[in-house]
Amino acid sequence: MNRVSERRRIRCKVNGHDIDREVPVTQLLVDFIREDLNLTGTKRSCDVQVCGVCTVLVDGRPVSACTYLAFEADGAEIQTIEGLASGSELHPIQQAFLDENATQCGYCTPGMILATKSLLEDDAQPNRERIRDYLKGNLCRCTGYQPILSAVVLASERIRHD
Amino acid sequence: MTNTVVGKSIPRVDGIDKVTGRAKYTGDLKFAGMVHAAIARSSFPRARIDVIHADDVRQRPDVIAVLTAEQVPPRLYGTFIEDQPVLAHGEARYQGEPTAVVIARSHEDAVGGAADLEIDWDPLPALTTIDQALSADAPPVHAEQGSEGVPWLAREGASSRNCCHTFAREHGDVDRALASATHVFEDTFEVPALQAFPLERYECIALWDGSELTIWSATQSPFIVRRDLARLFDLHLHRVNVVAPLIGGGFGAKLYTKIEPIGAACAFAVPGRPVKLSLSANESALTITQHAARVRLTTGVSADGLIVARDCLSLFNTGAYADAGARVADKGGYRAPGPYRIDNVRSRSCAVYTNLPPAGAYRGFGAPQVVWAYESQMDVIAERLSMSPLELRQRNILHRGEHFSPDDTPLDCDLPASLTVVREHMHGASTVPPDESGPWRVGEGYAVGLKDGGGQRTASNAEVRLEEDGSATVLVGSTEIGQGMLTVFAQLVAEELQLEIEHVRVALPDTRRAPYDSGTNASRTLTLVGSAVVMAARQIREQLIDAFRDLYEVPPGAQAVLRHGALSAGQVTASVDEVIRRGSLLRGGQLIGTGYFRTKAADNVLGGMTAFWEPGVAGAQVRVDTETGSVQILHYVSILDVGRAINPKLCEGQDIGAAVMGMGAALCERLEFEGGQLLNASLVDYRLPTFAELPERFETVLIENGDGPGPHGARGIGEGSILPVAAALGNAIAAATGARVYNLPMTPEVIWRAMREAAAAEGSNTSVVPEVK
Ligand code: FES
Ligand code: FES
Repeated sequence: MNRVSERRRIRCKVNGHDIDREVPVTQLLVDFIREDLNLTGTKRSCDVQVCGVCTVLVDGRPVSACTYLAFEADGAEIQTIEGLASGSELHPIQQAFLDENATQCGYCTPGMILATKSLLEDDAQPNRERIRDYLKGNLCRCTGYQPILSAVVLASERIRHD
Repeated sequence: MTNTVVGKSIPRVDGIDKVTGRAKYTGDLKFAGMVHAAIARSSFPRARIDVIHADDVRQRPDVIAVLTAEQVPPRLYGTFIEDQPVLAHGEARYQGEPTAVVIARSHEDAVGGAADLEIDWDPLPALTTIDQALSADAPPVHAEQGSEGVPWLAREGASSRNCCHTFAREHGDVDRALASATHVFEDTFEVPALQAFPLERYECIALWDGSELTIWSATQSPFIVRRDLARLFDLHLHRVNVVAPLIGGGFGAKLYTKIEPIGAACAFAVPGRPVKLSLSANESALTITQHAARVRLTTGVSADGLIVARDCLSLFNTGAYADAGARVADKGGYRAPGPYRIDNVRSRSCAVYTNLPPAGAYRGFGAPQVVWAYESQMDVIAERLSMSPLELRQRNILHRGEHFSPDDTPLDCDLPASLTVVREHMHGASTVPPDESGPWRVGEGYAVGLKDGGGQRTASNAEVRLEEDGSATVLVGSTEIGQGMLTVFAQLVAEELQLEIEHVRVALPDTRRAPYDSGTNASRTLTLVGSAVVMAARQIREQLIDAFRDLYEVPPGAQAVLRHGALSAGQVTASVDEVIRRGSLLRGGQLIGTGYFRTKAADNVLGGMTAFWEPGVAGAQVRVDTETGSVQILHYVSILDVGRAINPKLCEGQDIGAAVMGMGAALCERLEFEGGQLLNASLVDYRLPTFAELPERFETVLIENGDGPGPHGARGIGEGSILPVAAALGNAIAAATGARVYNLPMTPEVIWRAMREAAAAEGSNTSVVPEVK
């Protein structure tokens, strides 16, 4: 059996750029992003869809790239942390994370920021309960979550008042 | 000097890289020609290796090499006790012990090869608990380790055969004081093994180029890794370069040498090619754990609530290899009597070998286990004496200037004030009376922890280079694990040299460029390395002022000052860059300052004077569902006695981060072993605190008395806040329900059972506990 050699072509958009590649059918999206596209901002930790550090947005929805096959992203629009800032200007969520010290070691940060983006697109003014519930699939071992909560609130205020 | 950046919550300097995904961690580095390694592990907690059938895997086209014990140095390594082989040699001592390593062109091929590698094992009976390992007929985990009888263990009925290390401290006459005490309390408390689970797993990349070994590794202690590698591979230290990129969390799990010897062995097998070794989360869990421990406290108390004697026995399950275990036992034993004025103290501890994965450093280093014990017992005592728990603590607590141990540094922080402040905040004006309707019961609890901070007999160096354009580089051997080292050192130097913060860069360490530092642990970096940084910067300031006087012919009587990037004396002024450029014939356009800071050696039980004391004081209000045993934290107050906050927001981040980590350990975390097999390595089964566990209300209260020995009066933080968490919660749960839990974690089931037992005891026979009111 030669499971690794079977390949599929995928065409997708990653951070606005057209991508057209052949990938092994067994390849995970996280490896496609990190190894093939060299976008190492997307992290990998638990491998079992619990920690959320591999979160990317597929057609605007947060998915755990560690348990998502690369070829399933055929035709999709993918956003990774590298696609958030425009030039040297940070996205308001990034700026809020910076201002509230919502990042320490930074390992959870890309996934946390993308999950926040999807939350705020869904609910521009989430209350504390909503934030806690929405982000409970993203673990952070450093910050104790409170600063992240403050950053999400700050970002939502800034986005609404822009 | 004008105060510019010290004391300000400037955003962390590595923050932009971290929020944009540009930050590079070890696993993000890519090198041309890089190959991959994966480890084949023991399937049994204890087994002889009969045969390793490596040939099949070796012959696979994508496999480059398979290494077993025969192909790696036979030497053992370890920071305190050299007992660990690079790959299991003859026998495996824990399930998951590295036994062979496969090097292949891709990560998938390496992992596949390691999974398919056939090893014939001859399983042997395994020891997994402290009791099994100390029993008279236990086989030795390490036949060759010293096992001369330890008299006090023998008196406990324990064999010393699996004793890895013991510690003892004593003053006064404990037996006499206990015999004459009005009340004597004996209680035993337990803590399970935990995983720290920094989200970044173990990763390293090693390269042997024929003359130098370079290893990029997510390590908290690059210089210790360098030493271990040099010894193992018979190289001079200057031929080993350990590079520590940004680290995705450490918490002690990345302290001391971990996977680097295996990485280096691979590098020697494929000279000229970088080899990447990247562990899965499950493998990381098998690499190091926090020590499971049992602590027995016998405490004598006078009629008016003064502690007159305490006898402590702390046993730590250190697993198959010592790692940091010997020092964890020292520190746990040292700290076990607690931050109280006790004239008669005896404390003994032992790190015990078993056939579990090695246990090592974990935030707090032996203190979380003993604080859980002594602060739970304080409330047991208070209840028995019908005294308020805070009052009992205030009567006994050490004051500033008093001695924790007669031959160590006197206490430098203000514990009585912290106790007063924590109570005030718990009962602040904004506190709303909680809802106690239905099954809910509310209670509050307090705890105080104390640890000697900074480590003993450590040395730190720093180098600051000021360039002719007024920009500066700081070189230190410290690592950035998220605590903010890069930011606060930039603040310190910007302050001393009156530079803009953007003009100061702190370099991440590699051991070839960075000056020696003993490691990023023990909350030591700001206080000890920071002192060296300040010294180095001051040396440059002196050089600048000297050069300025000389080059600008400042009259001898006039005072020269450095402010806002310029030097001035009377009418004469010059910018920093002008002075450097004018004087650059001498120094090539760069001023270099160095700093060195060493903590004092001493002939005491720890072998050195404590640099500073790190307290943790907390109050918790919880709500317990008496039908299910589930706990909700309504209000948590943590007192952070920082001496001086160089960056208040970073301090608060350390505080709440440590506290929430402690909440996980208190309420849900536990590594489960069955017959030595780890059952819940994966995050599916091992529950860490999530957003949902965040307390309803969390307050950090900074206390700044300027009484720390570090820069500007700072004292180290980062560990202190985890110390009181479990006991504060346990005391609050007991206050709410009347049920006391002795063994962590306090899961709903455990609390529910404790409530049932408490109810049964109360209902059946009150004479069993006559003094309970
Ligand atoms: S690595 Fe994907 S959720 Fe943890
Ligand atoms: S900042 Fe380290 S895990 Fe979140």
